[in-house]
Amino acid sequence: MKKNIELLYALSHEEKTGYKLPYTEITQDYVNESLPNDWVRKELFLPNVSEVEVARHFFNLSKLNYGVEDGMYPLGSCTMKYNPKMNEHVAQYDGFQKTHPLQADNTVSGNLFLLFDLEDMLCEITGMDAFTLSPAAGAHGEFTGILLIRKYFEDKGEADTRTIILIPESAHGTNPASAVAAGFDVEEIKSTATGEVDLDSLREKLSDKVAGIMLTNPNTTGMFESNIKEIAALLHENGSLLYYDGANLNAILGIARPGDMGFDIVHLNIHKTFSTPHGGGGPGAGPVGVKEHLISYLPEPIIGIEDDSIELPDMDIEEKLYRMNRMDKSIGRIRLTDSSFSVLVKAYAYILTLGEEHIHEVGENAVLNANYIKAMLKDFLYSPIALPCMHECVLSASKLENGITALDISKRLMDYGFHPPTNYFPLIIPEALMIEPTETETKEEMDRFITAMKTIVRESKENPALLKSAPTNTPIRRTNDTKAAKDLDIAYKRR
Amino acid sequence: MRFIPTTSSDKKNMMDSIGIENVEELFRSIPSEYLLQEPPGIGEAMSEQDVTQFLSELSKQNVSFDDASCFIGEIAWYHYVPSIVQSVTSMPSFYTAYTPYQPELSQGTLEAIYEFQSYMVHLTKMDASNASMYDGASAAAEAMIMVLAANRKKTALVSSLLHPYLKKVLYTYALPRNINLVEVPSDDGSINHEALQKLVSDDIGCCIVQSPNTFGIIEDLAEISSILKERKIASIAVVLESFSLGLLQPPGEYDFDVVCGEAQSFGMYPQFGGPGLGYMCVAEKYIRKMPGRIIGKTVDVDNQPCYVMTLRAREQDIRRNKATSNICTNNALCALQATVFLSTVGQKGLRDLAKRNFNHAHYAFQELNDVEGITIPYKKPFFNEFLVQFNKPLDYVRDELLQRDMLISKNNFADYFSYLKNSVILSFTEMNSKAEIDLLRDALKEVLK
Ligand SMILES: Cc1ncc(COP(=O)(O)O)c(C=O)c1O
Repeated sequence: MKKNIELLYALSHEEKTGYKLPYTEITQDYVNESLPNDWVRKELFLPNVSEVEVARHFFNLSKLNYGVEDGMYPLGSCTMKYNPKMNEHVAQYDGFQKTHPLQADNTVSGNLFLLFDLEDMLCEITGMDAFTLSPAAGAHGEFTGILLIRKYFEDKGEADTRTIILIPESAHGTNPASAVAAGFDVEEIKSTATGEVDLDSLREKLSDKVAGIMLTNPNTTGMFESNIKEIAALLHENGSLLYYDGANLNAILGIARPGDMGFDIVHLNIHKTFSTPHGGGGPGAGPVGVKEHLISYLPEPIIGIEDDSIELPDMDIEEKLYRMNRMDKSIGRIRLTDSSFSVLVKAYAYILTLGEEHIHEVGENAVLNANYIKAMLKDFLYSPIALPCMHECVLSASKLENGITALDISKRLMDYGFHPPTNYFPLIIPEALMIEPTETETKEEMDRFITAMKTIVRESKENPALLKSAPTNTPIRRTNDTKAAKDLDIAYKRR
Repeated sequence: MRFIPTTSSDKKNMMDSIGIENVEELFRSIPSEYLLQEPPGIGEAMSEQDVTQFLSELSKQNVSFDDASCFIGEIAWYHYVPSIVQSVTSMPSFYTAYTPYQPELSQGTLEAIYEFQSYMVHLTKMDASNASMYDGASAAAEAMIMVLAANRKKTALVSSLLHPYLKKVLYTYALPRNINLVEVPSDDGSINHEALQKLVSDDIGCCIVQSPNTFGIIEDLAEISSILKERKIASIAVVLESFSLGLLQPPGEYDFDVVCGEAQSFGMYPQFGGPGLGYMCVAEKYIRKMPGRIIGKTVDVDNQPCYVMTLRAREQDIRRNKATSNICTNNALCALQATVFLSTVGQKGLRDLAKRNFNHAHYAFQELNDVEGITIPYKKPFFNEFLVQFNKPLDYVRDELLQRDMLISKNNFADYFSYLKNSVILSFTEMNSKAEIDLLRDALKEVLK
C-alpha cells in the first residue's frame, strides 16, 4: 500500500488538464465589454493535472480508508450498517438527479410523490402524525425540533417563562448544543448507573420554566428508558414537551414506536437507521416528526395533497401534490433547498425493501447481536451494566492493568483488522467502549471480533507495550494531535 | 431478508450464549403496552428488481433536464459532472466510512478534505476553510452567529438582495439568538452604498452581502468592504454560484472576514435540492471560532506526515452547550465530490467554464433584451443569470414554455419584491446551447405577443 500520497498540487503542470470545454456556437467573448476589468479574477491557485492522475490519486487515497466493506465497523451510536448498492443506484436516476428544486410542482410529481409517501411511512414507523423532511442531519433536526418547542410556547404566550430544556448527562453533545442554538438554557439531569433518567433528579428539576426534555431511547448506554411512561406523564403534567433523539431508533425499528411512548417530536438519523451511507462524515438527513398539536409550526415547505381521498401509492396523482410555503405559524425556513433529496430517495428504497414482513427483523437482530457480543466479552472486560442491552453494549477498559485505556484497546483492534468501537462516549462511563454491531453483521465476523478482543485483553496483561504502541499495521500510526493544533496547517500554501 | 445474514442456527447459538430462549426476552425493558402487535403500515417487502423498476417509473414522472431545457438557477445550477466524480464517490471506502475520528484508518478522507480546504482557501482567497457545512444558507447563518459572538454584538446588517430563501434562513437562525437583522436597501439591482453608509454604526456586528446577488448582479465588493472596514464592521460575503469564483475577483481579495456559501456547482447535480455543499472560509482571526470540523496536517509517532481532525475543542462532542455550533455530521462526501471536480477541471478548466457561463448568459441577455413583452429591469454586470419581467402572467408563460420543453423557475419575484410583477430569474450555463437559447427567445416572442 502506498502510504504517503502527495497532494495533487505537487503534480501540477500548466500543460496538464483533465478537462476540455464542450463545443459551443456562442463564440463572442463578452467579458471585455461587460465586466469591469478590475473585477476580473487575476490569479487562481488550483492544480492542473491529467484525469489519470486524479483517478490514481483518489483511488490510492480510498485504500487508506476503512469502510463497511472492509469488515466490522462497530461504532456505537453510529449504526454502521451495510449500505445497500441498490440505494446508490436509484438515487442516480437521471429523472431524480436532473431535477431542480425550483421546478414547478407539476413537473416534479414523481419527486413529490416519493417525499409524500416517505413522510407517510416515517409516520407509520415512528407513530407520529406528520414529518418535515428538510433537516440536513441529526443535529439540524434537533435544532428544528427545539425551534418547534419554542414556537409552541410562543403561541401559548409562555415563551418568556419556558426557558429550560432538560437533558440527561448521558446525552450526545449535539443535544445541548442544539438546545442552546435554539435559544434555550440547558439543565442536566442525572443519569442512573444504567444511563437512564434519574427520576428524583428529574422531579427536582421540573418547574414551570421547563419547556421540554430531550431523550435518546434506547439511551446512549444502549438501555431502554424503562420509566418512559412515568417520565412522559411527569413532563406532560408539567405542560412540557418530550423530544426524541432518534439516533438509536434501530434497536426498536418495527418493534416499538416513540410516538406511542408519549414523545411529541422525534428526529431520525436517516444515515444511521435507514441505511444511507455516512460518506466519511456526511451528508445525512434528519427528518423531524411531530404530533398533531405541533404540525402548524413545521418549517416550510410542506407537501400537501389537493384531494386527500387519493389512495397512495397510486402514481396517477399528477398535479395533485404541491409544496406549500407559507403557514402563519411556521418556524420559517431552515435551509436553502427543500431537502437532501437524494439521501431520502435511498431511505425510501430501503424501507420499500424492508416492508411490513421484515422491518422488525432489523431491531431484533441488531439487539441479538449486541447482546451476543456482550455475553461473550463480559468476563474479559468490565461490563458496568448487568442487564441485557438493546442494539449496543457498553464495556469499559477501566479495570484493566498496566494503565491500559479504551484508546489502547481501540488502536490495537486496528492491527487485527477491525474498526474500533466508539470510545469515551457516553461520558458517564469511564473508559467506555461502545459496541454496535448492527443487524447486518455476520456471526462469523462477530466471532473474529470477539476473539480479537479476548486476545487484546490477554496482551494487556502479558505484553501491554503491544497495546501502547498500537497500531502498527495501519497506513499511519498514532498521530501527534498537539502538533496539529499548535503548528496549524489546514491548507496547502503556495510556495 | 437479504441485508441480514443471520441464520436460524446462528440465532440459536447466540441465544444459548446469552442464556435466553427467545429474542423477545431481550425486549423486556420495553413496557409491553408499547410493543407493536402489528407491523407499521409500510406495505409489502419488495425485491430489488421491483424497487428499481418502481423508482425508475417514478423518476420518469418528473420532467428532467433530459426532457426539457433548464433555465433555472438561483440556489442550484445544472452543470456538467465529469464521469470521474461519480467514479470516485462510488468507492466504498469513501462513501461508507464514518467521520474520521480514527485517523489511522481514515487518511483517505482526511487528505481529501485537506485538499478541499486548500482549494476553497485559494478560490475565496481567505486564510482557512472548514471541512464543509450543510448548505449555503446554514453556512451563512453560522457565519453570522460566529462573528456576532466574537464581536459581542447583537445586530447584523443583511443585504436586501440576498436570495429570499437565504434571507428566510437567516431570520430563522437569528430569532432564538435574539439577533436583530437590519436590511440594507437596494438601488437599481444592487446594494445602495449611501444607505449602507448611513446604517453602519457601532451597534452593528456584521454585514452580510451576497454576490452575485439574488438578481444575478455582481456587487461592488471593494466599495462595500471599504465602507464596512472604515467602521470596523465584520464583513461576510455569500457566494452561492461558486462557478463565479472562476472569473470574478473573490471576496477575499477585498478583505472580507468571512466568505461562505454553496458549492453544489462543483460536481453535483441539482438533485431536486440536495444534498449540495455548504462551505465556510475565514480570515485568520476567526479560525479558532469556526463551526464544524477542520482537518490539519501533522505527523505520526514515526514522523510520517499525516492528517487529523484538529482544533476539536470548539465542537459539540467536547464543549456540549458551549460549542461554537451544534453541527456534527456535515457534507463530507459532497466535499469529496467538489475536490474531485476541481482537481479534474483544474485552474484552467474552472476559468474556462466560468467564462463560458458568462458568455452564454450574456448571449441570452442580448437575445432576450429585444423581445417585445420582456423587460430587463436591471442592467448591471451579472454572472450567469438575470431577472426578466414579462408582460403576461408568469404562470401562463411558465406553462407555455413547459409545453415547448423548457423549464423556468417557480419563484415569481413579485412575491418578494412587490414592484417586480411577473418577474423571474433566468439562468444560463455551459449546458444551455445557442440553439436552446434561440428556441427560448423564439418561444417567448410567440408567447408574449
Ligand atoms: C445520540 C446521537 N444524537 C445525535 C447525533 C447527531 O446526529 P448527526 O451527526 O446526524 O448530526 C448523533 C450522531 O453522532 C448521536 O449519536
